[in-house]
Amino acid sequence: MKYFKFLILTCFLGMLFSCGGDDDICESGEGTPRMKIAFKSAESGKEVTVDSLYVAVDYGSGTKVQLGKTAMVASRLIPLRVDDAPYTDIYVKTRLNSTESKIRVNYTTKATYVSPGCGIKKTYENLTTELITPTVVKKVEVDLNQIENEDKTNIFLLF
Amino acid sequence: MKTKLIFSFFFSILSLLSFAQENKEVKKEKWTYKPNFMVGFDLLNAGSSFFSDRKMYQGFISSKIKNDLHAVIDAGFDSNIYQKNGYDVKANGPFVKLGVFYMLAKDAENEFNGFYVGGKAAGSFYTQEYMAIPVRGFGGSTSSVAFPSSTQSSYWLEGMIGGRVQLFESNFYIDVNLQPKYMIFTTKQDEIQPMIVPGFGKSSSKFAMGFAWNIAYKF
Repeated sequence: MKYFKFLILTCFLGMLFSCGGDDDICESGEGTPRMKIAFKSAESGKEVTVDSLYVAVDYGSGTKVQLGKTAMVASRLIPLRVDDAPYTDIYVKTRLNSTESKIRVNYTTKATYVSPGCGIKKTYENLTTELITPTVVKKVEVDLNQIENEDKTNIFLLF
Repeated sequence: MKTKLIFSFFFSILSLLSFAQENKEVKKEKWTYKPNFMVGFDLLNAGSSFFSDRKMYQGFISSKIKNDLHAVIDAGFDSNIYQKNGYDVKANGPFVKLGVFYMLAKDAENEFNGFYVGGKAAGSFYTQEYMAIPVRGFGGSTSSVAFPSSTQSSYWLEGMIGGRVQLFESNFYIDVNLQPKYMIFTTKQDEIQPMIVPGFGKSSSKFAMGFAWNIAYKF
């Protein structure tokens, strides 16, 4: 009987320490950080909230992925491309039928291993922006030129 | 009155201690190791190698040391791939396990027949190659990073619960056992938690289970 108690105890302790598996999901915040954008007025240079904002991103598949509409936005998080391309194209508009502004964000990436579930995350460095089609967006400013987490605003769009 | 009681109390205790047990003169046998060996080969994992991506060949040598205690050495070679959730990994290499087991219940006629429990310490020395580790992205933008082939080692503890039965009157035995494994330490390439370790199995969690069905020959 002594041995069976010992066996049960080892199994129980084993269960406590054996969390984690190969189907673990990647919790948000551990994976690749997203880019935070905020908005400024082109005239005054002060931060503003935008009453509605439509964002679409080209993730390299050739078609734009609509990230949807948000209302009364002070800032927004946009996931960038994680493949080897050195840029991500972002399309922004404030009205459904208005013409989009195309913004190209250039960067260099760095890969770091996180966990079995998350795999590898990318952090972005040396952010630069190009405003390719200035329509609603008049100008783009880089505030923080590296993305390591999602706390700080990286770029400002000037309307 | 009191003294009498106290005296009788101590007297009975002393008499119990000294006379109750009849000391049998046990002839202490001087323990000598009689050479005995059992060599086994795992047929189950070798057989399933033909049908799965995991090719594992392992065998053991065990020897009775004293009474119900046996020592056992396992050795084997394992080659495995892991392709899941964006991972593409291959690893192969030899492993060894050293341990003891204790016969819990045995046949009165043949002390090698019975059920046992035991423990082993194991180590694996292998070559791994991570052809792809996923980078999880948004909107179908997933990519992967490849790492060059490297040599790593892992160490784990293994439990052993099983049984052994003699095949008719021959020297052949069937030995079946279950091996709960717990990873203790592993070397890592660029901090990457290994997904598979030869001899251990899937290693993204620290706990794994192994099973062996051996045919053994007793010399």
